[in-house]
Amino acid sequence: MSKRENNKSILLIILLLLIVGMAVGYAALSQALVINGTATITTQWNIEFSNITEGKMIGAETATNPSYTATTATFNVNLLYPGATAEYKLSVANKGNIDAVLVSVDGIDTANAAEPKDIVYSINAVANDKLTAGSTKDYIVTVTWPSSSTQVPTTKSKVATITLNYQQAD
Amino acid sequence: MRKIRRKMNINYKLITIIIIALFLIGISIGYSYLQTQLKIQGKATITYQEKSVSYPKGSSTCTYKFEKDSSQNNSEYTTYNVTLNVVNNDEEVNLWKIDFSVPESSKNIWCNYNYSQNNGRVTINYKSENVTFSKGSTQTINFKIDVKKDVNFTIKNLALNGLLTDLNAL
Repeated sequence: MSKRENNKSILLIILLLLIVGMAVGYAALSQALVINGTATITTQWNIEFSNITEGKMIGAETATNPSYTATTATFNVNLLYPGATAEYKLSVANKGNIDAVLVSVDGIDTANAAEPKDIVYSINAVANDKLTAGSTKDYIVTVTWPSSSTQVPTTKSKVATITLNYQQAD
Repeated sequence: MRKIRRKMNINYKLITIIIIALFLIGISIGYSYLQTQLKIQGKATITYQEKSVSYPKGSSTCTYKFEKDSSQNNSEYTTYNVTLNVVNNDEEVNLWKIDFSVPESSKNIWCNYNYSQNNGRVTINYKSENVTFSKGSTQTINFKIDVKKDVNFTIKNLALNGLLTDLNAL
């Protein structure tokens, strides 16, 4: 190592020590002026199912009692004749403190395109429906065997998965 | 410094990539935190009951009540004691027959009459000492039935000799 490089290193070390010293000194001096304060921003995002109940039933009977968890609601219904309709009322609660918006409802078209087409699902939920913090909204899922059906389909059961996509509202 | 860098074998490119990746992961975690997917799982099954719906409506009435039979202990099924009271407001019938729908998964019906059970449709027939069901009179029928624990017990589409009755649960 040359003499010049040696000098550089010494200068660097001195500068570092100076900065560390200033920091330590500042910390020591400021110890006498400590203000202990806690500021907490609590945001809570919590959208979940809060209930599911049987609604209007015409020519239909619940096969298994409807049930729900925070993110899944389940029902199972038997349709007895053409014209049969079953309704299930679902409650969605915004238990957080952030406003939410229903950005999309998926699964209805896919379900109705599948066999048997004689079983038709619908839901009265629409995109852009706001769910403000602390509020609850009810939606009705309807399953129908249209009265226009003229025969009993070969495939008799249809499972549908309808997804409600919620995001933070603007 | 170069020597120190080389000595410490610090790969600044790698560190930069890791920092950016962590930043992006943080953003995506934050984004997913503020969105929720609620799923509705529905199952509908066509259980066509031709007999129950092809009957015309009569003027007779039926009330029924049921209670759990606590003496029976089955992990999968609940046994109900059911009482039907059918009032004939139509014409007097001989060789009377009463049929009705119960949840399709029900089984082990026991009744002090001649009866049959097929796909959730129960038929109860007269007894030899009780052949005639005159107008204005009442037939009281008691039976037991095992119903799956997760299914609501109901009676539907009760018909007296081919005429649907007004049916009410007590």
